[in-house]
Amino acid sequence: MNCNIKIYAIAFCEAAMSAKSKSDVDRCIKNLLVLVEANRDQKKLKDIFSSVEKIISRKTGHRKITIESARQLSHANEKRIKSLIKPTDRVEKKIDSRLIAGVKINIDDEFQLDGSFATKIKNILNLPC
Amino acid sequence: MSYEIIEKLKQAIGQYEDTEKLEEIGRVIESGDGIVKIYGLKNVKSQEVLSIETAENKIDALALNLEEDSVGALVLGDHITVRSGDIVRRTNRLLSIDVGKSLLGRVVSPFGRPLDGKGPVFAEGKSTQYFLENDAPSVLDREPVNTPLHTGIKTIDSMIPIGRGQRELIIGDRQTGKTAIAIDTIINQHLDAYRKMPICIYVAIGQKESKIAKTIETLKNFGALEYTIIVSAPASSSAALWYLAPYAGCAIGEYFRDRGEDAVVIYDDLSKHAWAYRQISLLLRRPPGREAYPGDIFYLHSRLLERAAKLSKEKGGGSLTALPIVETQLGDVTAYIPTNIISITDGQIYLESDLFYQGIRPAVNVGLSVSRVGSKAQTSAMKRIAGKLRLELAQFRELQAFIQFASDVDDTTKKKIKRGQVITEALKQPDLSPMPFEKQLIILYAMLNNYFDDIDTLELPAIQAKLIENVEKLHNMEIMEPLRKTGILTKEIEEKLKIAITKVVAK
Repeated sequence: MNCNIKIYAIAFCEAAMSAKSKSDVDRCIKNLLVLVEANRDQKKLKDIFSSVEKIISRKTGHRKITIESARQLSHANEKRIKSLIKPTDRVEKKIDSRLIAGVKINIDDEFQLDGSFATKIKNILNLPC
Repeated sequence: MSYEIIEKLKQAIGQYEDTEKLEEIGRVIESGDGIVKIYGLKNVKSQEVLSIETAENKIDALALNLEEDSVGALVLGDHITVRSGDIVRRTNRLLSIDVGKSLLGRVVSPFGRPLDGKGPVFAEGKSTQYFLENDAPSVLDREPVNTPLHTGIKTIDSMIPIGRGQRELIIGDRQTGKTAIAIDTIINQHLDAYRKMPICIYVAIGQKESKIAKTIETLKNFGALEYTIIVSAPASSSAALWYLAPYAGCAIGEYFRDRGEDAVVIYDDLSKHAWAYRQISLLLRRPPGREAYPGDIFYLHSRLLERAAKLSKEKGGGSLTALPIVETQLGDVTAYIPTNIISITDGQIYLESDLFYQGIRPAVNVGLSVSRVGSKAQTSAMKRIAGKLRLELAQFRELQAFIQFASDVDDTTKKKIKRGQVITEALKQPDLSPMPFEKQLIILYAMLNNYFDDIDTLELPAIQAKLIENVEKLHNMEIMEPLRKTGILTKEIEEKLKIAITKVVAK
């Protein structure tokens, strides 16, 4: 059976969301893995889970926020950023020294607020002289 | 030198506005063969330019497929550097090209970048931007085609006249002289005195670079490059460039049209344009239709060709004439793409291999060729003189089978056959020798008023040349100049012309 990633993800989400207990959810995950193996679609697993994440995010309204900074954020800055985020949002922090300074915030991989110094330098150098 | 660089950098940094805003982004999930699939960008618009941030640089892409969860885009640069996971941003703009008078004499890519090594086309701030995709002028903005566009080719100017604002298709097999007609048309424009000289735009789609170089050299040698713009998408370029080249050429033509000037755009050739669009559509996994072309292959060409128009005086009176070229396979004009374009254009010039190999060059099949604008795009002199030419040739074609049995036919038929042979021979014209229309009038007048009937067909080219030379040297102010100026054959001019022709033919 040839199924695409989206179909796997939708089917799993609907089954998992209608589960009544944690053990039912675990059983759904196990069945998904068995099905993927049976269809020889193991290579698609990473994308399937990524797609599941996005579907659940959309249905529950919980956003996935990724905060990238050049170094560990100070307590004050972290508090400032958290005040803008809803309690139900999932926050992931990453350190990327290539940003040089500043912060890059990704929301659900659909929106981005790029305040990194590296991008500003790149934009200045791209300006017509 | 370093001081200048420091000053420029200081200026750039000083002018830089630090505005961070929440931007919509997408990520490349698939990339290959010039097409990328992007996840995200839910609010992107069709045909919007996107910016892909690769590891090396930023590359533009054109959003073509708006699907439920992803966007299919056509990469407009080096697609090899695009990787899965690269971030894609919206630019909120449509594809456009810099246009202006500085383009004259230049060779540019479909994005407007110079390819001739003569440096930037425009100084900073001296160009206007025109969209590649634009709406065609409405019915109310147009007026009927009424001004001739002389190609310099006797067969075409007499029997298949083209007007400014018309779309005339040039169709035929490979190596039948399609591009030659286009080049002769361009060269003839500066020989057509007393008429506004149109700007010529030659769009080379998928051609060999050597052929494009040869064309440029030819135009330069004839002094035609000064008023010509070449848009080049050679065979080695990507399908994206082949797809965009005609629209770029049309946008450049529209710039001049909207400023009240006349422009001619030649698309050489639209068959390759259709192949490129088929390749792009199949890679975007759009459902294939007949001959694997996508369902909107007609719209691809109709929206391009509808932009050729003659504008009304209120809109400046400018015009854009389109001469699309289509290559047929084994003379099959009933194939998909040729029939599509025949139904869009206002006529076609059909070139046949058989005629070419018989030595009839230009190899125009007058029976199958037509101009739907017709004599409205002819000067009154040409209308008067060449009015019966088609009929005479049609009668000759019917009688051609009797040529072998010439001794067994009656005198009237013999005369008609001889006449047809004279006309066929007189209409032959060498390559790169466009004839101004006043000279054409003299030849056609002599031919159709029986002055050449007693001349051997082999001597006709020499007699024609002698006649033109004689009238030019001895009767320029009384015959050539008034014809050139007014396009009207008055009784006085006719009498003088009769005398001149009689003298030359008698010798």
